[in-house]
Amino acid sequence: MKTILLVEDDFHIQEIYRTTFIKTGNYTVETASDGQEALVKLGSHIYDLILLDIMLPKVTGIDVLRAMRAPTSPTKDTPIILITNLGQEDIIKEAFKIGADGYLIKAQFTPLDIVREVDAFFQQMKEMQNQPAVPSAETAVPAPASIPVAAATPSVPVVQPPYQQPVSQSSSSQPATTPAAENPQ
Amino acid sequence: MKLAIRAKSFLLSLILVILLGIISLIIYLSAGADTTILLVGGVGSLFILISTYLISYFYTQGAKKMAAILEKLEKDQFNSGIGVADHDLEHLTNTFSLITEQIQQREGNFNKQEKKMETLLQALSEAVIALDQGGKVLIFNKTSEKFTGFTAQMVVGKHIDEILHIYGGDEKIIISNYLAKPDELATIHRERGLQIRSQDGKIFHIAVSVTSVVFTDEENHGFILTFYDETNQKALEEMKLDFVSMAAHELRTPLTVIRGYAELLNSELGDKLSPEHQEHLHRLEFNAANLGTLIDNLLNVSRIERGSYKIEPQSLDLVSLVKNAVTDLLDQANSKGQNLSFVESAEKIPMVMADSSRINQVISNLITNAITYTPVGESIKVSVTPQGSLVSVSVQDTGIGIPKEALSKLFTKFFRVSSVLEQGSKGTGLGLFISKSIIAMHGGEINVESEVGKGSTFSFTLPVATSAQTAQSAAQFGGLTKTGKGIMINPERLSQRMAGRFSSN
Repeated sequence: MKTILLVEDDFHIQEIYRTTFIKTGNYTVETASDGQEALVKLGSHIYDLILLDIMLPKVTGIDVLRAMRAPTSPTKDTPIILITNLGQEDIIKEAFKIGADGYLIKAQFTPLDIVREVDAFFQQMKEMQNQPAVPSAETAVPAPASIPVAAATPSVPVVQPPYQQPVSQSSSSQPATTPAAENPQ
Repeated sequence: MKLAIRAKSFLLSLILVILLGIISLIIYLSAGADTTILLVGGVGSLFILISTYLISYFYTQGAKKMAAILEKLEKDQFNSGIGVADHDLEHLTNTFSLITEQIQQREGNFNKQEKKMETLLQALSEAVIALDQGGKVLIFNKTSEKFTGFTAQMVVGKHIDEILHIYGGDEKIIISNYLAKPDELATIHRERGLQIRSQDGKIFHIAVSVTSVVFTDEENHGFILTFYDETNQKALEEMKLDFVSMAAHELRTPLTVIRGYAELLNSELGDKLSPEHQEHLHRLEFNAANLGTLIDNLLNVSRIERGSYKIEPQSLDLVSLVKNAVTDLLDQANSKGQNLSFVESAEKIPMVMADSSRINQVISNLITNAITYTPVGESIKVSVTPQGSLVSVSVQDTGIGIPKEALSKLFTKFFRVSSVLEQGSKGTGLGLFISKSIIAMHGGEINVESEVGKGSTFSFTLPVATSAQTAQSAAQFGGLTKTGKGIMINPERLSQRMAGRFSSN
């Protein structure tokens, strides 16, 4: 059972995401409707994942993110995925600089898609932790810029896109992010 | 009555001589006939005459010199035609006062002129700062105070780097390093933008121009810095950006809710519904998803037209990318009874220089179009072939084809081929426009060949990556943001996690 903190100001979106996550039986969901509430809730639980909206009342998502990533924050290492409907790339860039782990555009997904994405994200995290730590990650991890962690269509078996792997296999001894992935034929 | 000074002095000495003569004569007559007195009077008169002559002589010499100087001064400086006709002191005095008057007038003009220039300089909406060769401030106009928070009195004579706090993006710019390299400064401005922070913490977006100037004599070089305020322009740009972004946000939020409740309804009630109602629900979901694509596309078109749509090319294995796109769309094709397949190339395909998620978008768009415009039972073939320094990707269908007159307009905005096969509003008319823009940004070309009734072939080219580019791409992370399906991962964060820098939760 994993605990998610869902920070979302839109009541309906909060409701459908919460319901869908809980129905899987794999997640418990705490919710916050604005930035202030989110910051208050940080102390009360240890979360496995935070889904964070950017456009929030009272304290903006960016400021919440900054607080969550503060060196003394209990969530400084917790995975944070931004959930947004904004079409402004510079905000995402800024959030990535602060230390968000990823983002997704809400309108491009149904709630079940989101659950699948989150499942895949945890799977990837788990695989990463099972691998030995890479000594010099700064020098060469040829991960491409964007990595869809799961195919969005449910009926297609979840095949990790091949371009998620290091683009030049021979030139890198780094472990691939998803070693199980094979090129689909 | 005008008499020359010299004449006056001679007249005076003559009077003195006569007076002396009369006095001597009176003394001589009253005091008895003493000839000594007459002698004294005579010698005295002689002295007076001689000294008068000498004084007059020396004076004339001085006056001549002075006249020469005045004459030269007048000629050189004013040339107003006041002659120094006579070397007479009175004339000289007149000339002198005339010249003084002219000097005063001229000085007045100078002051007026200077005031004018000063007013002009101060009234400029640009900040103007003049520096000497060593970078010390000579001139500092009023607008400069706005940008820096200093007044001219505070900074004249100080070094420019003490006064200006300029940033290019996050980097502090030491302006004196760029005095001799204005082009480099312009590059920073273009790529990262320049901001100036004033003493009171205000931030202005600026453009800076540096001009080298020569002051008075040729050895003395200096610089003129001109700052233009671009804050309003910037705010305007951002407002425009915000509007499009906000519009997308406002449209997407209710759409998210619609898609969410439709799915919730389907998962809770789907089994119990009649096939007809299931179909209704399915159509609702399908069209909501389409609306989402439309919003994405509108946002992309707006970015393309604003020039803010960026690609981040890296060396890329195109074959894998295309195969994956085919796999993703297999179900959609199968559900229409079409045969979608990837045709392996006999030749080895080199790596290309491309932005993976943008190219994925193009390929998916072309395949989706083919699926839409190809009847049941027909086939769609996707292939990748090398073409010299390019690699070509083709999507070939045996569909309905495109009429000749439509071919030229195919890649323009909102253009859609109306056809019998197309039911309802499937396309947005933006996909090919976006695809063409993406391929053009990569330096490739997109083309179509088609014959009505036989099918269409869409193909695009991408440049082959050099081995240096391949090596470089392997050694660095790409950019951060892309649009597409799935969670977009922050690569930097991922690598940190892989390095085990974080404790596991």
